Amino acid sequence: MEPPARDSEKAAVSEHGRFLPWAGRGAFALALAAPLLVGVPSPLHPQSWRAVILSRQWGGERTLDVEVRFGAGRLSVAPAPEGLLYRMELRYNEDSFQPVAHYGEGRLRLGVEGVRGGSRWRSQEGNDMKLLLSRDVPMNLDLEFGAVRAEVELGGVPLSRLTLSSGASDSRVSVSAPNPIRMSSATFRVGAADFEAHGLGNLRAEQVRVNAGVGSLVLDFQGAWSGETQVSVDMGVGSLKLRFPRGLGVRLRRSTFLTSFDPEGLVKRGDSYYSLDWDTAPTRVSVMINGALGNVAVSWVR
Amino acid sequence: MLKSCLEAAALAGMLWTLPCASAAQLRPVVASEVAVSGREASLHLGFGDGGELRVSFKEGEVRVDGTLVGRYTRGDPLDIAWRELLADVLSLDDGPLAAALVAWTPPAALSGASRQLAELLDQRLEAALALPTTPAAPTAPEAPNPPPSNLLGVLLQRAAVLERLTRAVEGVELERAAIHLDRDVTVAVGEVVMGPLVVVGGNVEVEGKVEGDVVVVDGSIRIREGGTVTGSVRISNGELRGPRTRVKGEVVILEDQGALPSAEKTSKASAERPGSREEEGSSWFLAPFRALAKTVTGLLQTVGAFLLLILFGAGAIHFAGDRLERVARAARSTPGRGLGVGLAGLFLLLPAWVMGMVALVLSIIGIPLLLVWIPFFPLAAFFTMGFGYLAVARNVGEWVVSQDFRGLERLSPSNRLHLLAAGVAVLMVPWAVAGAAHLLGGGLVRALALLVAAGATWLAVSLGFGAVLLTRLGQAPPYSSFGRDDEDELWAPGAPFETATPRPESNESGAPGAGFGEGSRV
Repeated sequence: MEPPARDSEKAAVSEHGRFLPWAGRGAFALALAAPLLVGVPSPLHPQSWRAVILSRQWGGERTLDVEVRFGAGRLSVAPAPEGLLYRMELRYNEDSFQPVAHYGEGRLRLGVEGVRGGSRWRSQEGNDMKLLLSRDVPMNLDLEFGAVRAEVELGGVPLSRLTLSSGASDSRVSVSAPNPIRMSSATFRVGAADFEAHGLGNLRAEQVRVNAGVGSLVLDFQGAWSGETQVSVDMGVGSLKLRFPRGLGVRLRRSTFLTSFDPEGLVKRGDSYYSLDWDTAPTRVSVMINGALGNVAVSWVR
Repeated sequence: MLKSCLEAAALAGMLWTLPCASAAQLRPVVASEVAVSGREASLHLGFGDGGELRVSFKEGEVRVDGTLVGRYTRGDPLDIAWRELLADVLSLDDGPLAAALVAWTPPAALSGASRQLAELLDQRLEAALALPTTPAAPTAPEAPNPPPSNLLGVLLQRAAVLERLTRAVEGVELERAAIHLDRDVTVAVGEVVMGPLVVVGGNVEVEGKVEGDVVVVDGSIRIREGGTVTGSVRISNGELRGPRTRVKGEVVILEDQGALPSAEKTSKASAERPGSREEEGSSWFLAPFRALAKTVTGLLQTVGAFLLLILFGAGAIHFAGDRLERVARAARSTPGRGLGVGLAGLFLLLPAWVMGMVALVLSIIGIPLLLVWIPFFPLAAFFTMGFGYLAVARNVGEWVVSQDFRGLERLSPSNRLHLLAAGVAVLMVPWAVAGAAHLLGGGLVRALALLVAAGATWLAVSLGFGAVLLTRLGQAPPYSSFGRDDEDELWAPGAPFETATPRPESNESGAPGAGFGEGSRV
């Protein structure tokens, strides 16, 4: 009865655990254990939790438009093992929410939406989504979430375009490995949030736009830069920390109001600030900063 | 007994028709869904050839591809075994998932009907996951879902409903009762239905006449104009819609938990019987007039506020028209940032006022200035917010005028006062609706209108206030991307870095106009 598993399947399974460092199979199995083995909600927590795992294998798609919507809770995004188009692990209050998973015509919509008549305000804190996205398909990725603690790891995911919108969230985006394809634009829209983006160089984006309302921003520009990239940061109120790797040519212009500016390692020429190696740097990034009320600090990392 | 026989027959039939899945090759699983909660434990597989398999344990029923194949009790050995299987496969995909499902065998601890059902599931899994020997082999014929043979059978399956029904029909003569299950019942105009009428799991609409009692469980009853129930109405887990005056007998609404009829609810029903309106006397008679008076007052207040704002706006246009335009442009081009700054500014107003007072006191010599600071700071903040609100209203008005609405042709898009008036009027509409809602009986409509009105006003004030701050009261030319309606111009060739030649010394000082993106401003 035991069928032979293909090598690739074995590899996929073994890699699966590696790509879930934030939870692991054991942790999620533990999370599932409550409804699996207990099932009856506690009187102190009258919500009825439902755990859903959805996955789909890569079927040779050439491109994919991916939309992810998640209102509140915890969100993790990571690359999927080879051969997997996506895998979504959800835990949510089934009285108030329902999962969304539509696939077809080159479009994939995933997430959680409120059900009619459900109380969306009743404890959204336990909602949890873990999403693995394909490494095989170039995709336009549109992430939108509200009051969420988000950990987004996009290293190695082939992205042709990225849009990330968040409300009052605590979000961290990491790109630990280079994007296999050149990306046209990456846009981050954050409301009242603490937002960190690490390894932006690995996005290989022609344009990076960051639009932030209120909060703290950390933009780390390490990674495999290629060509010239233009970065625009529009900031309302808050602090902005820019971390550049040494060796990257940086040109920075700012238009700020009531904002302190610490241009460490940059010299002013005309209206702009330049890194010392700007003229000779093989890769360059031009940064525009618009902001009001806050502070901007530049630092350099090896 | 009959039910058990039917289910056993169905199981036997399905077992007989199942193909054997002994082949080593497994059908590719391209999509899978495992859902687990206190109410259900289900598995959904999608295959490469478009086929599907759904197995669900939900609310006591075991279904395969939607067909009822048996029953379980939450926590019984079958339920536990199935959930353990799902727990084992939930981290698997495709081949490993298929292999694990095929490898599953019912635990030895199962016996009797549970074991029979588990074996059926095992075979269904193996059959679904086995590669079809002939292309597009049709799935095994499904045994028909054994329908409950009678109402009692259905009700017996729903213990809670049966309990509610038992209490609801207390005292009702059931010998000639017409019982309807899981469907709505309508007594049409002119129709006379002899009661008692018992409806479980459905709604009742009475436009004609029911001679006798009506019992509704898990549903509602609406008695329309002209409709009558000559007996009592007893409702469990539902409600009566429409005037109770159309019920000749008693209206009894049972508590959901099946408690005895609530004395309070019964007496309340009696109080609304014929005559109750007369007892209200003059207050009932005057009620419409009061509502009318409130409506007129509300509308007059709205018109007064509108006129005041227009007056204020006309002054702003006359004395600071260009500033108003700059603020409006900033609010239009970067609303998100304007809103963020506005909210932060509003939040900081009170601390700034208090800290200013403290600073003046601490400085000793500034104490006399308190006489100016204390009244003028709030006044200045109020006028700043008003100025911002008008700027946002001007943008709204511009949009309204551009829509070519019928009757608004006379509004000129180049006339600032026209734009302002149109915008303020639009922003005041929810207030007017809230005022007029008195005529509709107030309540929810008025609350919603007030909510919308307050929300729109708050949004306009916040955004406008932020835009005023960002443009420094409309004084400075908009910086950064303000005024650029098309953000993409940022990336157009030549802007802004490409034009970043060193500027003359005079511009190094940061004089207005030296910001970047200047060349692309509208």
